[in-house]
Amino acid sequence: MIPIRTALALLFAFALAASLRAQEATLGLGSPTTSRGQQVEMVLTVRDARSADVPETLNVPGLRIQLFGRSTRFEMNNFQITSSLTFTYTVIPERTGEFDIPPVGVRVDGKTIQTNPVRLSVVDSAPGMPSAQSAMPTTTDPGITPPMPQGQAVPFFGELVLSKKKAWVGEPIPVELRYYFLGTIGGEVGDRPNLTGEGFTTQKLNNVPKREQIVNGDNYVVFAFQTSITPAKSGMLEIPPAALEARLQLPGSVPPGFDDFFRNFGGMVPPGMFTNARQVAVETRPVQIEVSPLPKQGRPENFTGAIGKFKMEASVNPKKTGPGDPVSLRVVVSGQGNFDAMGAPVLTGDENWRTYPPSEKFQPADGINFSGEKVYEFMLVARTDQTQTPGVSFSYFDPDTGKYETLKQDPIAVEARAGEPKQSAEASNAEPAATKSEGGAETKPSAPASLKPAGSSSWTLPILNPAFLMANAALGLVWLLALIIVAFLLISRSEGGVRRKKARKTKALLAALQDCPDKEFFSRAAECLRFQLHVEDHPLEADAELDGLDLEDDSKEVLQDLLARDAECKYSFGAIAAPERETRSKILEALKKISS
Amino acid sequence: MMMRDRILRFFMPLCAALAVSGGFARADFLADARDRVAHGEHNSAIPYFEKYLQAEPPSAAAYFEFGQALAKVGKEAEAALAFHRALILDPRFAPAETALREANAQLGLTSPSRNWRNAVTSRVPLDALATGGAAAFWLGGFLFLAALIAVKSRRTLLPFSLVVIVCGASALVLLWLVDPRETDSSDAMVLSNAGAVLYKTPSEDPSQKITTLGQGSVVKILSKRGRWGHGELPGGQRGWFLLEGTTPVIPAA
Repeated sequence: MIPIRTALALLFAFALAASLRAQEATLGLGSPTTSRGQQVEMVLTVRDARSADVPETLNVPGLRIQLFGRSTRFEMNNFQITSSLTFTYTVIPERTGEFDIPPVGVRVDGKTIQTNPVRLSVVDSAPGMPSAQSAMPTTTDPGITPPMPQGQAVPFFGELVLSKKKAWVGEPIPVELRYYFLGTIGGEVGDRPNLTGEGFTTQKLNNVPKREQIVNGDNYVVFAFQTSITPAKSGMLEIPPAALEARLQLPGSVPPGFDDFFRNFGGMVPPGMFTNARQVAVETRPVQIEVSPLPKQGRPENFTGAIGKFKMEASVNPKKTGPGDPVSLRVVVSGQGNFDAMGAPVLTGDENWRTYPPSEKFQPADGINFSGEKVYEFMLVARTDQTQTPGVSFSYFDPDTGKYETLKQDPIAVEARAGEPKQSAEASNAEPAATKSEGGAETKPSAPASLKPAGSSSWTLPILNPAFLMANAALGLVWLLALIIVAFLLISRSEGGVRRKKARKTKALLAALQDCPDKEFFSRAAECLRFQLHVEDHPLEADAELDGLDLEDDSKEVLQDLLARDAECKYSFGAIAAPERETRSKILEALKKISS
Repeated sequence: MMMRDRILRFFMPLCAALAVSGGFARADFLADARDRVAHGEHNSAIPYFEKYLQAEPPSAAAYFEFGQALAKVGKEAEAALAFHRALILDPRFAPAETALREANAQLGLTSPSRNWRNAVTSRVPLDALATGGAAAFWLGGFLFLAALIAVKSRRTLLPFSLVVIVCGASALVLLWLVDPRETDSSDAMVLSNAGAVLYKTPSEDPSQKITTLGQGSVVKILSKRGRWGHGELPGGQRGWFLLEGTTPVIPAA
């Protein structure tokens, strides 16, 4: 019997070792948010390993992290064996803030594998997510127990953990939905539970990393989802059960004979060996919240619906502006509360500024939009020169104290110059001048007083405007005509022009002489001669000029005779005899010689 | 002769009546728009501004008022376009410049930094520059002709006329270089709420994406290919984008 038992044990061990897969280490927090001094559980799970070394403490400034316990789990589902080691750490925050817990190195089979990093938000004892210590079911915490008969582990159950049982209308209450599945059963779990009901609204569900938890001595895998519930009306509010669909491999009946077979080898039937697949809906238990209306007493005028705990900071950029340039006033409201529903802070003392509704940007610090910071950017334009920004006021309702609080930001120093008209009267007429309505609200930057067009009244470039082009074309034409005239003038004034003109005139005079009456012949021939000699204005110089001419003597003689006869004609008042035909032809010939 | 007189007698009053009634109708659009704005009815004023701007020659002041009404009803991108158009018509219109800067800030856009063109256009009235430039050019031209004829004063008149011509021509060239009606003639503004995506190639391939242009962004269209436009951003970056959702900064004639 002994050799067979040993052989079977060896076979079992071999199968176990062969079925182990690659190791993986994960790190998960019981809750991503807690308050100072409130302990949180952190679970490090190493899959597919039979032993592992983990650090006893983790050094994260501001957090005290200590190894609390460890457990080992083997699981066999349809002959598929898996194993996991669970190391539980306690995390005690010593101060508020955001803490990044770095990846933890785990030594497994001589190798070091790293976990994922996790982030923990620690707030100043404000209402936050329920901490693992306060709400997680543990072996030592009798607060929550699975609904089961004593001494018998139930395969699955759900619970809804509220951070508080009393709330105000509009106050977001962080909630965690937890679904526990016994570690020895396998299966698949649905994406997310459905949480709907009347009288409240919820944020979208945020998945929490899967973790393992020991409840009443049994190891459970916990699937958790976080959200926040916002009551919409006062009175008792019941949060109905939230069901999560799952398909589980639940333990089935052992076939006859198998139980005795394993018992013969000194053991029980291995867990998960004989299972039945079942579709189940795991439900949380209904929970009631007492909801009160917001008090009317002490409600500030500028209260815009913010409920929670907030801080406010403001900054301005730029500190110095040019005329009419806008200034950006950045107001950051941070903390925990209903960021989705709250209104913007209110500016105070902004009469001398033109203001616009601010832009908003929310940066959540968690997955349920409960904590984070909301940035409002106010665009301000000075109406008159200013040395400081408007003040900022933000009122909210503190659900812990049940009172309204008002945060105030004093004006910030800034050099802002008012917009000055840079140019024409038209523009200054059109300068917007915001006015205040009777209610004090800004109505509008007023319309320009006059619609007299400032600038152009056409999309066409003026130099391409048809009228402009026509006018310029006309001017161009005139200029061309003028240019032609000027050219003629210049040409006629040139030496060649004068010469040509003279030749033309000489020719005309000679032609006229041909048919001239006899009694006018001498005077006109003399005139022609003087013209040719350039002495029209000084007739007495004609003889001298004639002498200087390079001309045959006969011709000179004829022309001198002509001048003499012309003089005679003048002094005899035309009583001189008519020229003979031969004389006429000689004179004409001599004149032609000069012109040639 | 009698027939012609009869026709004239019939048509002239009719033409005059039509002209006058048309003028009144256009004036009514503006009066109605302004009346609604004065009563805070910005939304209902918008169609009247649109009709006025369609019927009348464009006016910087009208576009400015139109932009203010659009801004009041939360149409920041359309308002930015109206302010931009007002500035194109009158680059010296300081209120429009301030309003455009504020509208851009609301849209999360930075207003383009001022360059030498802005420096010129914010100081010089462009239409006057065109008229003055042309006048100087022609004056110089005629003085030049005079200098050719005038023998005695040619020495002084000729260089003077040439200087005047150069000044006039320079003014016209400067106008061509700085007038936003020319420099912004191929600009388009993204009006789509979703913005526009700039790609390296004319295809909606996410791997080819360069950047996303926010609503109110202005891009210079270099060329068009079907539904696509090849554009250049103010920073010099070039890429392809879908023309749908963009509107020319200078409206089509």
